Amino acid sequence: MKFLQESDLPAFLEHLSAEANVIAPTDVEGLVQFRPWTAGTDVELDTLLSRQSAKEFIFPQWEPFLKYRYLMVCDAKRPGTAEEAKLELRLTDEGEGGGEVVAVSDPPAHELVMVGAEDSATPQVIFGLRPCDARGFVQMDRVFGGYGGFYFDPYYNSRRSLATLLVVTCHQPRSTCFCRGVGGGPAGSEGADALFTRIPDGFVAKALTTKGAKALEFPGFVDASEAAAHAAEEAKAAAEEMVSVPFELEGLREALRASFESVDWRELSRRCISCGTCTYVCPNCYCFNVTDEAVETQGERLRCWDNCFNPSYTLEASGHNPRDVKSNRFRNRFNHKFWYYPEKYDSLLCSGCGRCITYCPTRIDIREVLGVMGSGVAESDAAPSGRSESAAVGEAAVGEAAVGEAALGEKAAGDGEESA
Amino acid sequence: MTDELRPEQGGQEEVDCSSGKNTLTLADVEALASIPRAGTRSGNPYLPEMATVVEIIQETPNVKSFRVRFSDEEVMERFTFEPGQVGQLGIYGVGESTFAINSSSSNKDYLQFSVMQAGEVTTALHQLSVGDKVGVRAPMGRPFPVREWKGKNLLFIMGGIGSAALRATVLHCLEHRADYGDVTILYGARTPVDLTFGYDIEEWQSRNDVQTVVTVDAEFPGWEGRVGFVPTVLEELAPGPVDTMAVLCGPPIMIKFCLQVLERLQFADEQVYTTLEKRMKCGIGICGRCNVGPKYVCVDGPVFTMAELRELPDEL
Amino acid sequence: MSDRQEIIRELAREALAEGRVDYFLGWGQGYDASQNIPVFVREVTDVDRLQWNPLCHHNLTVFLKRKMPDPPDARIGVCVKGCDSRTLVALLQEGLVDRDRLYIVGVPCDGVVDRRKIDREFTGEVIGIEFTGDKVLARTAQGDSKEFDRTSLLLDQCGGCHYPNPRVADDIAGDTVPEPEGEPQWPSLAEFEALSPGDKAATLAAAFSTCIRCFACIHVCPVCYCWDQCVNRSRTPALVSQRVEKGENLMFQLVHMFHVAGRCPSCGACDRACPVEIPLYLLHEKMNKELYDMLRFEAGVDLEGKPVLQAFSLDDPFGEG
Repeated sequence: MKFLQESDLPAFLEHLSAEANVIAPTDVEGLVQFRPWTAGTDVELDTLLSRQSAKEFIFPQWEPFLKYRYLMVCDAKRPGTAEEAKLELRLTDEGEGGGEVVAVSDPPAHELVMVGAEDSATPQVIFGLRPCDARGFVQMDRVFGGYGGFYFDPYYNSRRSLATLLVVTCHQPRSTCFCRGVGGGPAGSEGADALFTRIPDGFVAKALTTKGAKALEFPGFVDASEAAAHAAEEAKAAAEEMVSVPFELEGLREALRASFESVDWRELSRRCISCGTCTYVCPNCYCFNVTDEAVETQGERLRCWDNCFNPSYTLEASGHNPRDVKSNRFRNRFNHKFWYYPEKYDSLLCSGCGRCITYCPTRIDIREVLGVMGSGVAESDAAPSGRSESAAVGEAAVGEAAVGEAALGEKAAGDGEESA
Repeated sequence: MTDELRPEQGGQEEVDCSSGKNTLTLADVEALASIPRAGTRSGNPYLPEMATVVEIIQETPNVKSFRVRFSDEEVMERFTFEPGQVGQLGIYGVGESTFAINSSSSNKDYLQFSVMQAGEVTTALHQLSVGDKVGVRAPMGRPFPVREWKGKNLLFIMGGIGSAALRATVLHCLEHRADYGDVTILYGARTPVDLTFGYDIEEWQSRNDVQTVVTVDAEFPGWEGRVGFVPTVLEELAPGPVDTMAVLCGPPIMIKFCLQVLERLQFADEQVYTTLEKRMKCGIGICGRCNVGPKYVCVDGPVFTMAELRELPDEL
Repeated sequence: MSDRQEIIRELAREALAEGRVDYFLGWGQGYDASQNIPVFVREVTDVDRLQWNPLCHHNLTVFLKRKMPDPPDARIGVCVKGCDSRTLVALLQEGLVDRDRLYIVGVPCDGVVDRRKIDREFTGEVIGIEFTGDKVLARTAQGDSKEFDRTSLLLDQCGGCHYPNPRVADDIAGDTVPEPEGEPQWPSLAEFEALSPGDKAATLAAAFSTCIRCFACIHVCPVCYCWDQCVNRSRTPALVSQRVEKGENLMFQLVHMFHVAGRCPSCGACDRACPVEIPLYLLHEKMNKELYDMLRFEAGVDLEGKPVLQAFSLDDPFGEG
């Protein structure tokens, strides 16, 4: 265990910035957001959670895959085409072959030049992540890393492999935190290259990987005293007690499978406005769109964040849309995170940060949704007369999540989905 | 869009096209053409391989088949795929769409994709000329298990443009005819004008080791062949289920009724195969869009058995 | 105020018991005692979930727009405050909702409290907000608490509101409140309008550099009616790029603004929905001020009227008065 004085934090970040871009939570017009850090910027660690996650630094909101340009090259430089009469201009339209030809232009000659997207990955150090933020990366690593023999995403992985994640454990979890309910915790180390815990005059830090050890080579780190190490352990334990476990994880996947047609999805999604806020603030939602944008003869193919609440997300060219109904899109997000993704990648796709609850315009509560759907009671499509009861159950579960009520002993019994 | 793509002025003689829009020097063109391009062989599955359109066949009023060759000869030579696999055919500046590779997997001259004009990308594809450049990302997806089918009877049921999804598989099985038992091809379309691959149908009908039945939905002037909806004709043909694999593709309504017929004919769900379509983007199981429940059509499919489909939630 | 709550509950109870509506839309408590959410009540036994207090900020008419009613032909009871009712009038003016399928409960409003103003007063997490008379007591999970005057916490737009009483309603939940006389006020604009053009541009650029294109503003706006086919998502025409940068983000918002111009009463739902707190309300208020200055028009006030940009008259008072 090492110790860093609070006052040495800027020097530590300065040291790191010699070889990497440093990203840290900072105040941006009153909101705490991860931003590139420069000397003199205050690091905002009093606020528990940044407004958005830090995923944009490994998985940017948009990035070009390739750029292209059509060159107009004279005919002499280019092989002829079969359709030479393509640009005949006719005065009248008298059917096939009719009308007088008044001009003939050379067929347009398009040479296409494609330039692969630059690999712009540079080393990054993201300091000030919370355990749920870091865990989000670990969860996304599966899909982008080709887990199970699928494809490997070079864009994500080039950034990910050059990123060092320095996690600061949580001193004061929010009432909306439920990391413990998904196999994590306010002192969780999954994904962390080094784990920091804040104590009154500084940080107790521990390297967990070689990257983390390298980061901690800054001379300001000294061996932590016993008192300091003890204070850190107490802080972590205190934080653990503040996070409750609001729904049962065991059997959740099967319950979701059984509840696919349940009318409860319609009830739970009533106040959803089908925007993308929850998806975009989430540390591990990753669905994206690929789109070509061109201005005249040149352009780029971009990848950009998308979200399954987008009404046209699954819209097919025929006009058919399998998820035309809002409650079906709503259902898809929860199923993706707690059934489909775990089934494919042996990992949940939620780290319990609770941002989706706090920033949803109508405060849809994922804990309530999973509490209701995970109860294993699938309603038929009749009038939901039992709905009030399950709503009460959901709300009671949420009520129990009030900060300060100990929920110890309710270790989330994952069905093999999570390894600590 | 960005300054880095603007050509530098000066150099050797100006090469100017008639519109005068882009003015480049020869040096520019040569320099740009020599920039190495990343392709799928480079480990980046998002980057297409450049290909050239070598032939376009108007199959029906709204369906064209595009035969494309990879610009890189080595890529063309080394390219292989399994019947039932798909590819993303795209135009730079417009986008990509997923189509079955429906040339035979033994064809080393070109890849064929058949495109029905429906949306933005397919409309742009329909405006291509021979010699134009396209991007291809292929092969993708799970193929039909043609080796597992050895020794079995095969029943191909195709409706309209659904034939495109099965053509490569039909060709493979006919090329390896001795590996299979009875082979029946049932192909129907709304009208004779909507039948694709006329050149294939003639050949299949001329073979005496294949039962080829072509039908149209209703009487049509000049049509001397069979008349009847595909499910109806299927029921009339009444193929036996023993040691038989049924492979179907076509409009949803056709599939729905054919499945009912196959059930009446005692086909088990494991004996019935189909191939699905969905809105796709990455095509490589990452972007999260094309899922039916926990399965991605682009990597877990597009080929599925009915048994597998029954396990999936109803969101086709 | 608690009277209004009782009246709302009673009206809901009757409407549901008599089968006049399939469900009733009101406000209620969210995941803790400081959160307010839209509440859908189907059963008479659930009407006690309905609340009325200065936290009831949602514009519930958003759930009337296309593709929102479930089932599509549902008969819906809906509570509307003054500003909410103006968006409902705008929807009715254009025939976008079916009046016959609505049971409108108008709720005269004394102003809505700005949750963000309360949050800024604490470093901890606010988990409870209570109202007693004109006092507001807020407490945090950390045990802090503070008392405020309600009037000091109101949303900025409530200070300039001229239409606190509903413009359309079947029943009214209690007594109406006094309506301010005189010209409309635009309380939030003075500071922005005093900036030089360069500073205005810089302010907007800074504000929109944080936009994440979540579409919350578009989807939560009741008069943003094409929400599921929004031109901001379109490729043909492509008005905005998927490059999420401040220029494109501002264009995105301008498209939204100009499409709702003439129907937006600056209810501020967009502003409150924005997860990164972009001052969207400011833009819409500015737009409405310009419309008023040019055409003496205020959106959603006259049920018999038409949105000003959808109608033309030779008597249109350009720049007069």
